[in-house]
Amino acid sequence: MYGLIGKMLRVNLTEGTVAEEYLSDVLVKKYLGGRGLGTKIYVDEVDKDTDAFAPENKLILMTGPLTGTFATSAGRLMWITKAPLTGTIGCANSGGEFGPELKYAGFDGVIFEGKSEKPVYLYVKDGKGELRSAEELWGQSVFVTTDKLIEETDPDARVCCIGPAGENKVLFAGIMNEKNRAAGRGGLGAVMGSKNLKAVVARGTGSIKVADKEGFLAACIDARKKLKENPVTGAGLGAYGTEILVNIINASGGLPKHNWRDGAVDPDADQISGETLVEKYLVRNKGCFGCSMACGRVTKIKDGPYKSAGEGPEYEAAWALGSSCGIHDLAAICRVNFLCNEYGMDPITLGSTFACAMEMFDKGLLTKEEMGGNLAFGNADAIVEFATKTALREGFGDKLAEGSYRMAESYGVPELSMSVKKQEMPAYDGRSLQGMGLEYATSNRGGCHVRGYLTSPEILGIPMKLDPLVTDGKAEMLKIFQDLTAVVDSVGICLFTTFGIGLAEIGNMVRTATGWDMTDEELLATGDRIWNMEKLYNLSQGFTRADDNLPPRLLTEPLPEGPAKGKVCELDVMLEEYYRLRGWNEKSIPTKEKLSELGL
Amino acid sequence: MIVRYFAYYRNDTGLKEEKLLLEPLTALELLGKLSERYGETMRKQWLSPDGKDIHPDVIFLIDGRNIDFVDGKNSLVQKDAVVSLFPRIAGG
Repeated sequence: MYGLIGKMLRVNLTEGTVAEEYLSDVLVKKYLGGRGLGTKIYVDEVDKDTDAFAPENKLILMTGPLTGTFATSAGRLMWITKAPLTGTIGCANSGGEFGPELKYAGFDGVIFEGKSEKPVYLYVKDGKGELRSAEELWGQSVFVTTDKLIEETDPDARVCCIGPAGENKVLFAGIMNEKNRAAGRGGLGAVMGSKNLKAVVARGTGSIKVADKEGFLAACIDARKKLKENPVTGAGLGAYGTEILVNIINASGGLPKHNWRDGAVDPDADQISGETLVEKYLVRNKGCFGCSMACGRVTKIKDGPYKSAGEGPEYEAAWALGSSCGIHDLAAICRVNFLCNEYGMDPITLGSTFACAMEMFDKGLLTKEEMGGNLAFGNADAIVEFATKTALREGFGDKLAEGSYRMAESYGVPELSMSVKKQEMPAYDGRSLQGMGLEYATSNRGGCHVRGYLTSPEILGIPMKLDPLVTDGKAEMLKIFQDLTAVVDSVGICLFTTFGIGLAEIGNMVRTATGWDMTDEELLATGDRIWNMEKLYNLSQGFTRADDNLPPRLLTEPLPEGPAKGKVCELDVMLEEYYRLRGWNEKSIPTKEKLSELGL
Repeated sequence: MIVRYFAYYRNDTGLKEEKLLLEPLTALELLGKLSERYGETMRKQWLSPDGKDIHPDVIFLIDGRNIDFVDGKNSLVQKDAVVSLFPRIAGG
């Protein structure tokens, strides 16, 4: 097999066994790898009625055919299971160096099943995998765990692990690698914790075969050249990171304030912007494996109450902990982001859950006594304090650890949760970016921005310009973006490459690496297949058209100011067209003809 | 009118924002005037070589609306407008 190694590890945590398995060529070509192949393995092997935390549930770690190769930004890995936060298919990806290292160690992925009696970690080294005790690591932070495992195994090893949030089954716990890279959304770290699996460590000295060495090299050089010459991927992302979006989204009237309650124009947004981060706290930028964009932020708060150092924040985290909470102290936001990395926790859901609690406090539905603190809009100290309480499920942190929907629902006000399918929407108001509203409503993993990033054409003009205030053309573009994203997530490269290259360049890299006879159109159709496979899983979990929805606030409360003043999200209009283009009926169920066309 | 600068434009102009006392003018005319003030470096970033068009890498908002969805380079900037100027950027 080319691109992929062709081998997986199957780890039965109940039995304590580790076995090798070979991948089928036919299956790989049909689902590519990463998100597609991992999901296919998951839906084939796990009974649909299995609870996310049941030992019978499985957790899949999967790389793609380009992961670890010379393809541009090819450091991606994907984790797949049922997401405990949403109950949908859960898949979250991460960059860094771990994915390539796993392939160099001889495996494309790992299927974890069962539940270990005691904490363990998996050590994979040059063609062999073994389970080892992690009892002494249980309770330790991501940073301590990573350092100790490198010390215990190999100085060049790479570590994926959970922190206390995953152990405590915080419903938005992530799985971290190289300390600061996160498969963050949906709570997959809690599934890992439920299995008493603390970490996966990889060290390999092998290599990856590609089908057409010269062709692959040429395709990669072409893609890298285009990324280098593009002003966004060649300069902007490295200079300012993703946080550069704060000001442009705000200026466009799309940065939600105070739990999306008080419009989407934040007069103080610049205080938490990418420009301010560079000016005050940036130490240097940092890239993942094989990436020339290097959008990562190494940051340091040199003094004051939040003195600390780490990485981030990304734009969505800065918004969730910032504008949505009415907080403009960037040092405090950085500090909470660092804590999220240490505990292994998603800062988007954390910040959004804080914002929801703050609105409930504002409305008198929560008291300081009940919270054991003052989680009020604008209180920077409180978000630092409650980040730890949430990760450890201490006091009111136990409620926050359930995410905003379950917390608000327990007080009878689920409508105050700014979530879709119980996962919080990040940072782009669907009233001022109509296409993003449709994206949130239809995302297979709940409120999420990276399943079909229509902000790109609506605000950034990439690859074309679409008016953010109109609904025309959004469904058609979203379907293409969703399908292409499924391809990108499956082959193992970073989604940000699509700011500078497209399907043609990706197709060239995939074909020359794998030897697959597959046109660009067929590759995109594979993305369609993957999207529909995920949809079918969600339907099996009881999700219906009613769940392809947005919080009432976005549908009924017009924005009070800015370029989208008076607008709500016109979801129904876009949704009808979207279903038609997808080949789904009015109940959002794929037709028999569509499934037949996709070979599902 | 208020003109706000972001990303690299802040470094190149040395400003986050400035107030200008100008009569209504088009987006292209405004960038022409700003180019006169900030010199060749900014002219190259903001305008086409012949000065007849706005450089494709400029994101030009008038009161939050991208001029591409108004009247392009001929979009009118009123005396009390807020103009936001961004280079081509992305994130996510």
